[in-house]
Amino acid sequence: MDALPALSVHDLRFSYGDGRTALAGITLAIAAGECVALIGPNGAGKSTLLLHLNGLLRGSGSVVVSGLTIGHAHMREIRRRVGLVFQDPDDQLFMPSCIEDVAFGPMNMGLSWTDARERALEALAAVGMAEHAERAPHHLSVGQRKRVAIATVLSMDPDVLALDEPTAGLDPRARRQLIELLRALPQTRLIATHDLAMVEELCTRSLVLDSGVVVADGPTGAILEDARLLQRHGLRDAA
Amino acid sequence: MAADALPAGSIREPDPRAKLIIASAFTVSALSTPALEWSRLWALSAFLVASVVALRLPGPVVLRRMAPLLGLVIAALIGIIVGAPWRPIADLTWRLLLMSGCAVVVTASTSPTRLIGAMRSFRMPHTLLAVLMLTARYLHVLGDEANRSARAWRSRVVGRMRWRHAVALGRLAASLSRRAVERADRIAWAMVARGFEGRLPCAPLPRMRLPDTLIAVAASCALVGMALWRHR
Repeated sequence: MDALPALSVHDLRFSYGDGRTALAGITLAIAAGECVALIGPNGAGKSTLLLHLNGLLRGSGSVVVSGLTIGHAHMREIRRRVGLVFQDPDDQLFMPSCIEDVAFGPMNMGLSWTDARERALEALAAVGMAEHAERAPHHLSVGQRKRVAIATVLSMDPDVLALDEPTAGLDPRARRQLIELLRALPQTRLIATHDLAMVEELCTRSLVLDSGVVVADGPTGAILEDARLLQRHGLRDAA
Repeated sequence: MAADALPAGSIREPDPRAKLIIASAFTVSALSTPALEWSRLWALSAFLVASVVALRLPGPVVLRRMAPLLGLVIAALIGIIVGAPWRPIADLTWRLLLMSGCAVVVTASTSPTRLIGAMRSFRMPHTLLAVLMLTARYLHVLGDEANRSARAWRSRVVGRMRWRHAVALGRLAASLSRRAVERADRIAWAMVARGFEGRLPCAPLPRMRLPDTLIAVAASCALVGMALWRHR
């Protein structure tokens, strides 16, 4: 590969305080613009891996984002480059209004309120939520909150989007809207999910994670056709 | 005034800084009014009611927010009706009621964003402002969680309240607290992931307009003057 990968992880290991091993030597590389699915059973380490991508958790091994190794020296830039979207939008949207929430990241990057607001409005328009800018997040539907949650990271102009279960808890219409939104985004995307139908539609490549290790990595079509692999790792029932 | 700043104050929606100044003067007045000076306490009560009317706050909203203070109202009324030995207690509870009512009027008539912006312009500590902002945002979420848990508890409790039911209720409360702490962790992660380094960014308020300044100064002087003025 001649171009620098957007994201590369080498031998990443992490254990929680109670001794439970969440990541047991993850190695992967994702090219710029790729849309990659991260699938695996509950407790496989998907969310833990995402938390490492912008330095919220620090394990042994290395995580490199567009050539920058995660470390204290580059943390501000890493957090701009990797937009992390949490599973529950109520965790992500902590400000009293959508516009303030979306402007939160740009203001932390040092932008004035005028510039941050402009960026926030652009990001809200990109997810089709511009008309809800002044509303309180708790007055929005779950689908709308998920879209605003994506806008909160788009406003920081990230290179990589890491999304944790983006379609969880959505009704079919909201799910469809979110899939179309994710399809239209130009950034490198790493999507942790159990929604295999969405993976088939959106992602060209899939990684199967189980017990903290990558057990399969390949084209989505090949991974999803391997019924035994999916059954073995809890992604398809045995019946 | 910056073009992007929040809307300026008006008669209908006074500047939040003016409200904070008047609320502070009101609190000072309620605290420093001499004991058992009921005419002044009634005057402060009338001021509070007039504020509700002037701000066009819906009565049901104010009453609902005042509902937790019902105990204070009853205690004060009992003190007033029963007479002399209970009057000091009535005096104290009425002052508490006035100050709580003032907080209700300010919070019911001002969005959390504008209120936090006003507090920030008075250089209140960042940690306090962050706590207030997050409380305003998550009160509904925690309320919803509590309601869901209570519904689940009620759906499995049959008959009269028994000791084991009370224990289960206690565990439910503990579980809610634990969930709140876990949510706090996740919120902290979400904030740090977007570059938070300890100072909550906030939209700036526009310059305070002259009418708002005049109203704030006049009302504050009147309130504090009324409390400090002595007969004879």
